[in-house]
Formats: sequence, structure tokens, C-alpha cells
Amino acid sequence: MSTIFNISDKIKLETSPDPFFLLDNYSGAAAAYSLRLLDSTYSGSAVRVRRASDNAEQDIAFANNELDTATLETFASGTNAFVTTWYDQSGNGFDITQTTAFKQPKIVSIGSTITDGTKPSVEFNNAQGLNTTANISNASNYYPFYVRSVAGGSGAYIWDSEIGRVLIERTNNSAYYDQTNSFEGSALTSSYRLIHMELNSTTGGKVYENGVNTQSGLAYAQYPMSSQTALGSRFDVDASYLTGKIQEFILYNTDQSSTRTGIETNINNFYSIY
Amino acid sequence: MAQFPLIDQASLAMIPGAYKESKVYSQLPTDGSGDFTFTRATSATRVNEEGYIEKGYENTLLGSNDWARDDSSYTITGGEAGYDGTNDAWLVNKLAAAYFNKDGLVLAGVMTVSFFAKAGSLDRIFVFIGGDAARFDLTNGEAFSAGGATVSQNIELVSGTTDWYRCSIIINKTGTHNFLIKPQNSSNQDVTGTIYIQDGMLNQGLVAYPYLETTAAPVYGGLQAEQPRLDYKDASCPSVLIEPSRTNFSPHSEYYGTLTTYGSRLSYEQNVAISPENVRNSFKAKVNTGELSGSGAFSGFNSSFSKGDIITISVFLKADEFDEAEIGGFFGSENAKFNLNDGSVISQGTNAINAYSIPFSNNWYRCVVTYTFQDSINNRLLYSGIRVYAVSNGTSLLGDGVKGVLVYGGQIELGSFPTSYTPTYGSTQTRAAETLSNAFSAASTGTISLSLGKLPQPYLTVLGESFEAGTTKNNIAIAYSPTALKISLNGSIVVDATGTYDTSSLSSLQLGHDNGSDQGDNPIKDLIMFNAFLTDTELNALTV
Repeated sequence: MSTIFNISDKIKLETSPDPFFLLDNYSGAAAAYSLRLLDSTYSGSAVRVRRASDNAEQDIAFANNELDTATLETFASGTNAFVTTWYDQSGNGFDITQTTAFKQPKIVSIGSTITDGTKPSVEFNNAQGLNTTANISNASNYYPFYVRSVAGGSGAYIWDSEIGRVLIERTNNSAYYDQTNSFEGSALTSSYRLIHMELNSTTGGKVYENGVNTQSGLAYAQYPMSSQTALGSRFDVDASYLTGKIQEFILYNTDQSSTRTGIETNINNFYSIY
Repeated sequence: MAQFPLIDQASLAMIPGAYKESKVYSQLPTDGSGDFTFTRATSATRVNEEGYIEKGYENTLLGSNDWARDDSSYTITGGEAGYDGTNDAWLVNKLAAAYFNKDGLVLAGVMTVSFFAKAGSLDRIFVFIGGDAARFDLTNGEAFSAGGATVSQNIELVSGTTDWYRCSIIINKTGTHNFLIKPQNSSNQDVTGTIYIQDGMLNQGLVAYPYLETTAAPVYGGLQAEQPRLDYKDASCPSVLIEPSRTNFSPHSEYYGTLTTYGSRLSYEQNVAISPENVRNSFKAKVNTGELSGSGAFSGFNSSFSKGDIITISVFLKADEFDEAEIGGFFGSENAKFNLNDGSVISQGTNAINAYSIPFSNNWYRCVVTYTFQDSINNRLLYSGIRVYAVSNGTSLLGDGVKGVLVYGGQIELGSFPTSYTPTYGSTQTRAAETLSNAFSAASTGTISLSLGKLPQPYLTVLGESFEAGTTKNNIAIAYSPTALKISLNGSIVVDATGTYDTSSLSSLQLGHDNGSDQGDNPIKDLIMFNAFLTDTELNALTV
């Protein structure tokens, strides 16, 4: 992506290698959470946040296709703000939430939006996570794309679901877990990365970091994602939590091997990860 | 020249033409409030009105026309008639068999030392710098290597004269070395006698650039830091170049030095032909005797790259006796082969993302390959350069050590597209990011019209609306208000939307960047703004 003009951060003319909105061109996501607008037809907010000063909550929408950080920081009013809901832009309604205040991940720190690279990010720490009890998917192959950095956490989980069970990235030692094969693969690079996995029961599991295939030939058996599913922690948000940041998590349950590079390019054009 | 309908109704019009250091002027408004401030802070190049690459350069030889020396072996006196119609030349009278030392030269890579000279009672000059030597004949205009590791030497008759020559010795050294000179006779003997000399220069690169007079400090010429670039790469109408920061990771972009280190089956000859710069500083890569092909890498010893990096290599190539060459990584299917007769791509490796060529003057092509680095050798070195094939018009031959192709301007960048050429002379060079901005206040309801050339990316987005760009040109008019958006592209309305748009307080205009970032390869040929939401007919008239 590149900019042709920018008027007061309100009117920008930009170029991109594909339609700017990822889900316009690569539709069919089972769930999609991001701090940028992924679908030009999505009219909802990005996140709902709670500010620390008085526990008031407010939806934060997009401003010119990105998180409206001006509104967010005005609302936070110099204090911390935490995500209570990260809205699903896939159209499937799988919003992920956290009602327990101390388990809510942070998005504003002392009045300033938390970032990773140059873009806003949600920061997980100390048993924080967002979850849903909706049944996201029946037993399937999965193709997640996500942008994250890992600072610590003991066996932290990026994404986990209770019934199945399928777990995406156990940060200290494994690429993923399914109930048949247990933990598969090895730990991924902890620093700021675009991660993609192909969890395919026929061709085996593969891991891509910043567009490069780093692991392949892993075993995978299909399971559903249902009962409780969580981002940034174990499904029940009580243990195995992430210390790190997530900016975007998009889950497909249909084969994306032919669109992988296009999706990765779209993501990297926005975040400039590599 | 393009027509600009409705320009009498415009609130701002910037049609690139007038500029100076740190400034691009707008035609409207006339009070200067629409003028743009430009920043870059490093040197850069452009394609000028004649289609040639234009550089910045610098004379670092201090006291460039002060040849007086306290040397018992010489008397050197000024006030002589010079090559340029002045009386600024010096008579050098050699009294004994010895050199005189012009100065200690501070050398940093590939540099050219030059001076103007005319025969007196003696007709040859011997120059010796840090072990490298050249000899110049001032009667028949011949230059000879005279030992050491001289890269090249050159002598040219000064236009409009019959007896003044500009003599150049090209060397590749670092550190401080004396600039030693002695006149000789036609038999190369150290006899006494005279020659005339004037205007010395020390500049980076493989040729002597136009002379710049210095006294106590270096003097700069050509395209300079903080100077906006009006680029004529793809049309007769210029576009303003606003590029991201990029580093040319090739330590020698014009000299064949690294290719000899990282290659085989090729030999080289420097300064054999006119380059896209319109000076004689391209080299010839010749396939060795009995070989089908030969290769050499521009990438040097830099080992900071990682598997998965997106690399773009660009090299100016021209057919000579042979006409096929590859550029890219030698391993990992990271390259593409070009036909240098027409610039077409013959084939490309599986890890080459994009390959194409851009025609330049005098049958040169800037060949470009973007690829994903595979690190096949597992040492993080790119091994990225050229491979020349002993092929002529489709017929495979064998090299003879003479035939080859012409080469200039190797550039290796991290990124998915090539930026303007950044020359290097022994170490990598970084061009800083550019910005073009002003504080012009735009109306909350208005129209923005731009003329862009071919864009490197096929989609455009504004205020949440995406549309497909044109394949050859992109004339765009965007009418906006707090509740409506309409966009015309190349004569047709492509977006007609309603919604809620924040168009209040539009008081900062950034062209080609987003707060200092996100520069691309987008040729901006003009920008015109109106304080009205123009009609469909007017929008289409602006973009047709």
C-alpha cells in the first residue's frame, strides 16, 4: 500500500495490490477480528472498551478504515482502557468478549493507544483473554492468519477451543494442538510476525512466518471449535495466557492455499511487518 | 502540454514546473499559500528532460585552480590564457626530474581526478596517486595506464579549442594520497620544460563531472539534497518523485569490482560506452573464451538478509555483440532472463515475483526483477547480479573474451518495487524518504483532481471506497462532501456513494506520503483542487 495524498488524516487516496479490504477480496472467513476495517460492507465498531477511571464503556469505530484512536484516547482520558468486546467482522457474529475486568486485555496505556510496529494493538497480560461460547466451526481444516508478538507467558495460547480440541500456537514449544495428535511442531519466532497455518488433515499441517514456510509435514486431525473459544489465552481464560500483542486474527475453515500469498500481502501491506 | 479544464475555478493548482531547494511552487493560489515544502536531506537522481539520469556531484579538491607550489624543482605561475577564455591557466615550468604535489587527496572508493592541460615545450603529463599512475599525451589526445591498479584513464579535447585537453584518472582507493604530477617529453623522459594546467577536480564516480571551482570547501553541482525531483521517466510531462527511503546494497553500482569477486567466466572493461547518464561510464561484461555464459554479483559481502526478504534488483543493460542476460539471485530460482534487443522477459524463476524492463535512451533497458530471497546457500548472502549469455539473435555461441553486453547502474533494494537509481562508489548508499506538504485549507465540500501515470498497484481506495486503477493512465477526480462521494476515473464515474464523511478542518495536505511514511512509486503529474462538488460532466471533463 502507498499513499498518493493525505489531507489532515481524513481524506487519503491510497494504492493497494488488491481491493483494500481483505474480506472484500478473500471472503468466507469463519471469524475475523482486527483493529482495521476488513470488509467495506461492515458497518459495526472495531472494539468496545472500558476505561479504568470510572469503568464506563464505549464502542470504538473506524476512522478512515483504521481504529479511531482519536476517539479512543479521548474516551480513555489519560488513563488505561481495556477491551471488553472485539467485534467479529466476518458477518458470522462471533464477537469475543470478557466481562471480568481484570481479564480484559489492554488497548490504551496512560492515555496512549498501544501499538505494535506502527499500528494499534491489543495487549494481553496476566490471565487476560477474550472468548465466546458460540460454536464457531464444525470439525474442519483450519487456515488462520494472524499478526502477533510474544513477550512471554508460560505455554501461552493464541487461540483455543474447548470441545474438540484445537489450539493454535502454544508459544513456548508447539505450533498447534489437536486432540488426536497432541502438540505438533515447534515453537514459532516470538517477535512481531504475520503467522499463517494450514491445518489440513490430508496434506498435513504447515506453518508460515512472514510468508515463509517454516514447518510442514505435521500431523493434523479435524475437530470442531465449539463450547468455549478464546483469543489470547486458554479457552477458559484461567491459565496458559499470552504475554504479548495481537492486532488481527482471521480464521478460515476453507482451503486458502491458493490465496495465501494474496492474503499475506494484503496484511503485510497494511502492517509493514517484513 | 496537457489541457486543464475548469482551472479558472480552482482553489489550488500544482502542475510541476517551478521548484527550488525545499520548495515546489503551485500556480494557484498566487499568494503562496498553496506552495509545497519538500524534504529529503540526501542526494538522489532523476531522469531529466532529455531522458538521461541526472546525479548530484561534488568537487572535493580544495583550491581547485591554485597550482602555485613552493617547490625548488618547479616554478608555477598563473595568469595564462586558459581553455575557457579566461586567463586562469598556469604555466608549469619543470626545472628538475621530480614530481610536484598538487595536494593530499582524500579518497573514498571509486573517484575521478581530473584537470585541464595543454602542451608547452613538453607534451606529456605523468600522474601518480597512491601507487596508481596514468600518462596523457597532449599532442594526439591519448591516455595510457602507467602502472598500479588504475581503474581507467581518459583524455578528451575541450570543445572549442584545438590544444586543451581534459585528463582524467579513475582510481579505487581510500585514505589520503598525494596528487603527484610531472611533465614529460614524447619519449616519456623526465627532461625540463613546460606545460599548461588549469582547474583540477576530484569527484566520486567513473567520469569527471562538469568543473566546479573550489577554494576552502567542497562545492556541489547537479541534483542536490533537498532539491525536489521532476522526473521524466515515463512521459514528456514531468511527475514529482516522492519516494520511500531505500538503500542500494550494491557497494559498486557502476564499477565492476564486486562482480569479479562473486562471479566467474566473465571479464570486464570499464568506461567503454555511453551510459543512460549520457557519459562514458558503463562497462562491458564479456563472456570468457569457450564459455556459454558467465556471471557476477553486485551484492557484495552484505550478509544481513533473511530468507523471505523481498528483494528488487535492477540493472541497466544494453545489447552489444550478445543480447541475452539474466539478473537476480544465482540460486533459488530468483532470477529472470531478458532479451536486450527489445527488453522483453524470456523466462523467470519460480521465486521471481515480478520481472520487466523500462526502456531508456540509446537502447538501454533498466531490467528489474523482484524476488523472494530463498537463502539457498544458508549464509544470508544474496549472490544477486547478472549472468550474460553468449547468445546473439537467438543463436547460442561461445564466448571469446571480447564479445558481451553493456552494463551500468546495478541496484539492490529491500522492497517490492525499484526506486530511482542511487549510485554507489564503494559502500552502500541510502536515499532518505521524501515528503511534500503544505498547510493549504481545503473546503469541507470540494473536488480533488489528479493526473497520475501508470500505477504499480492496481487498486485505489479513498474514504472507504475501492476502485480498480487504469492500466496506462489514472486521471482521477474526487468530489466529496460530508454526505457524498463521487469519483471519476479516466472520463467515467466509477464511485457514486453516500455516507457520513468527516471533511471538516482540512488544513494539512501531504502529497505522496502519509505523515512521512507510505511513499510509493506513484508518478504525480498534477494536483488541482476546487471548493465545489463538481457535476458529473465536470468531473469527467477533468479526467478524460
